[in-house]
Amino acid sequence: MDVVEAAPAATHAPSPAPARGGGVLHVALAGNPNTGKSTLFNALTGMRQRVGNYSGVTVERVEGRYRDAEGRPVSVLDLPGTYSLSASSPDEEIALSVLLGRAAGVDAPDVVVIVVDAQNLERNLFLASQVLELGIPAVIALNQVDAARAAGIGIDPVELTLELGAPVVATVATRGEGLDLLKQAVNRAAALPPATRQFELPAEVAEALAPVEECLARGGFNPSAAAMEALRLLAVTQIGPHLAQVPGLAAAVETARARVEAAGLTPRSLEAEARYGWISEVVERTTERTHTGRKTLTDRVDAVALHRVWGPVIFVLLMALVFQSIFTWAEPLIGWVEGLFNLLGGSVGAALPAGDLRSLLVDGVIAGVGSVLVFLPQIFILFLFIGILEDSGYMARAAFIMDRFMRSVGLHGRSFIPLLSGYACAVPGVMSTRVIENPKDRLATIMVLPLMSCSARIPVYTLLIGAFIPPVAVAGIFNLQGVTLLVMYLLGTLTALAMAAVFKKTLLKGRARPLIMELPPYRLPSVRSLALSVGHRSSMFLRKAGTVILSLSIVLWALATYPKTHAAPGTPPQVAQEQQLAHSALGRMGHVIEPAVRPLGYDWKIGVGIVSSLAAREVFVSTMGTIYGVGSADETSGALREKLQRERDPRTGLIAYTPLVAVGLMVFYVYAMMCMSTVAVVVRETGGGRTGAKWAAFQFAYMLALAYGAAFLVYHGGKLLGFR
Amino acid sequence: MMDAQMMQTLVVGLIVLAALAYVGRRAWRTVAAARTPQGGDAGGCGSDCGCGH
Repeated sequence: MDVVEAAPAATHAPSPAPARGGGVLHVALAGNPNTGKSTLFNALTGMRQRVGNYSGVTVERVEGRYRDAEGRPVSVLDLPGTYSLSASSPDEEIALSVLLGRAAGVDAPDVVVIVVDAQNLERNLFLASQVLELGIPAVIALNQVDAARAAGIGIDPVELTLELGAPVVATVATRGEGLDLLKQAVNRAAALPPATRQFELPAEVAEALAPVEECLARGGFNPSAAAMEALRLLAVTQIGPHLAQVPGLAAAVETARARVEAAGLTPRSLEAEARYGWISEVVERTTERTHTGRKTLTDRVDAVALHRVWGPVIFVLLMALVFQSIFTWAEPLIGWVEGLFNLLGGSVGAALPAGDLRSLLVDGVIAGVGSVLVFLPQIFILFLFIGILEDSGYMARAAFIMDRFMRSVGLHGRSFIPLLSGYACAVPGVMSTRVIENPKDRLATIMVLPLMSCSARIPVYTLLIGAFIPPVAVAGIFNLQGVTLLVMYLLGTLTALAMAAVFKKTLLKGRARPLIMELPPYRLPSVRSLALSVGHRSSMFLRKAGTVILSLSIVLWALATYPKTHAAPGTPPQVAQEQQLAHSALGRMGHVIEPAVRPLGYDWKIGVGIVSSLAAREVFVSTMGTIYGVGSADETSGALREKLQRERDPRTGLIAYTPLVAVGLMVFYVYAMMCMSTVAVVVRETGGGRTGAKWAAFQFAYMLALAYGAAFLVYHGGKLLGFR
Repeated sequence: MMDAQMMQTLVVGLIVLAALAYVGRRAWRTVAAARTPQGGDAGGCGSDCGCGH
């Protein structure tokens, strides 16, 4: 059987869907994870997207718009990817509430597009059949038909349309194929009769569910949606918040369950058995498989990439390559940005008369914010690689490889995704632990998550590595700078696993449970999708530089400038600047902090940088930029890296910051929880109030102890071994 | 008439006050977010956290 690209949706010509208020047609995109749903969403809406959260929960809400052939606006809501509407996780609960028009602040959809992966039709049709029964005008986007065809799977969209009772359009979202047909089908869907349940339940089950359906109908559900909900409720333990207002529902469901059991059936598995029984017949009638007996490209790559020994080796080599590229590729760009800020500082310095305003702009704002912004190319390259690894399907393999290590330390397989999020930022990572059902597993994950090196640490690592680690070759193909960055990331990750093992054996004892996950086939990443995600990340970095870092740079400049002292006549300008800095409010605070950090080899300037970076880790870099801006008599004395290399200890006259101090400082930042936003979210996510505050305080204290102890060991151990 | 030096000091004072107000507001919002019960709107996150806030 050949794959037919167009379905009857294109051949029928019913009148377009009536749009509601404002002439906007509301479309919801539903589907399993890894069906190419987000790619389809991007292809439909392009750059016109808005990202937010659903009210009351932290499930991401992504909306976009396009205009149809008649120029009418169509609003598209990308629902979270789910395998069913069982409402057993926040994602499923939200998807169901939105589709039923019961989600606060979200318009009920006029049309739902169900994205189905042509390579996994049987599994995808479970969710599709549930959505179709809700009585909403629906269109099926049969996506990735090219990959299915390559795998020897041919699906007839016309047959499938007849079986499902809803138009099916074949698409290849990555190449934009079938999008025009899909848009036409969406336009006309509302004029078609809504799909209904295409299979029958045993008579005794239908009788048992009738009172539940009546109850739901009284609660405002249409008969079709009531039938879907009644069958679904047999299997779930909680009826869900969107049904809380339906009177008498819980009792009716209990009675129905008892009647189903009395008929010798299992309520929990009844829906799955009924749906999959029907689905297997549909697949049989609409699909043709050409078994070539050959392994697919994905199978052949996975034989190596998921190998017990080679899998982890490839993973580490890939990461090493990523971190090396961060240095080798970004270096010229960093030079340009540094040059740009030097030029800007010089121009502003020349344009303004000498005084506090000039000092604020040149030494505070340009030196502070500029010292962080020079790392934008590295942030860009890191997220480009992460995007490629995600879109190509390798990240799911990385999760699979890591699962073995996760289970060995007692962590739940579901902990991997929050931990992975921690590489970007700990805050969404901590919030995403809500998918972990067991409270002890969840708490253990939260407790170790900030040890994963987040993107805010990159400016700190790269400043110190760029200044103090030479770019010498390692093993012929890698350089020491990239290897050092990789070691910092691995150090955080391995320590997170070790600490999780400690917590799971002491405070949070419990058994490890396995992870069941899907490995999508390998794909070529879409340039558009990569551009969107890297652009989003980079703009967030720029926004932070323009708000928090800018404000703190101004405050720190003021602290480093006042109160003013007057140097004795004849004092050299550089010495006068140093004296001014030492007597400023910041200098005085620094000298109070200094005894605490001196055992780690740090001076008061680093001490101030560490304390100010409690606001955000990058602030360490901007603080150093401001201190060296104010403390330097020369307005164009080069980049911060060079200033750090040249810094001398005023007591001994020797070089103040050595490679050993830099490594110790990086290790300190690997472990220290220098982020108040993370502390705040941990308080809230561990129960709030006193309980939450206790867990957050415990976490802050153990991580600080770990940071201080490790930095102490590196510094003194290194000195004993003869390093400097 | 105010001289240029005085003018600079005044402008600097205003900028520093505005920065202090912004930092204070951020700090307050972080503390307030910690008090919000779980399930409430997600505040308190870093502006680059990617959670959508």
